[in-house]
Amino acid sequence: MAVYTALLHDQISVYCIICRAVQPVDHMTTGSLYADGSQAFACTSHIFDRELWISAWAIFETEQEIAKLCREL
Amino acid sequence: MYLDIRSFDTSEKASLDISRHLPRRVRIGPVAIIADRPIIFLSVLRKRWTKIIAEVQRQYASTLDARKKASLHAEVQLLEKMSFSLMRKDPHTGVAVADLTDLPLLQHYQTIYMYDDPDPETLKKIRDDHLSTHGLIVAYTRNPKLYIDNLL
Ligand SMILES: [Zn+2]
Repeated sequence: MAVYTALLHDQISVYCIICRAVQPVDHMTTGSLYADGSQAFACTSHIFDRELWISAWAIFETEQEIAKLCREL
Repeated sequence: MYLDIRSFDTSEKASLDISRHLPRRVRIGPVAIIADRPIIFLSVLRKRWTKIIAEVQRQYASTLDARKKASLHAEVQLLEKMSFSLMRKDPHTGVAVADLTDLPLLQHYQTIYMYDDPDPETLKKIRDDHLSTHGLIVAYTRNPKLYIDNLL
């Protein structure tokens, strides 16, 4: 069985971009970035749901790209 | 910097995990993978990548949601244009696979995956010399302490 940990300096709990839960960082997996360059996370359990994992991140990343373009307007 | 530690009992599970994690990182910037057998690693990764593209295409074909469809289309385009290579052949590829004898690396990376545990000094050098500011190290390891004690 896999065991995951995600650690970083200054955050204890982080937000899941897939189910929107706020969870301790050791339950979370790193993903891509928010439009402002900060790190985005999702609950580690979602990585095993192939379909959800792929589509939720694809949608998130499109939204962040739009947000990034809007910031540059 | 960020550190993501992932432990697995089989290399098969670890390679499945990286194939799901990597698409989230390739769009951010260059990726390096340090593995003890780069040629085999690269060939497994390429096979998994082909499967992932097929899966995204399958989802694209079956969804009616316009927003999801557009995002999956962008995802397929990103995955298809990604290039993988051995670091010693093409260090400036999107995803470069190296072993510890290929160090020092030639540039900075936004994400460095560690499939082989280096000694503590080498690990610190990888972080200091080759990881971008706010970059991420993902360690597939049975020795999390090595990374926690030396990187955080
Ligand atoms: Zn979640």
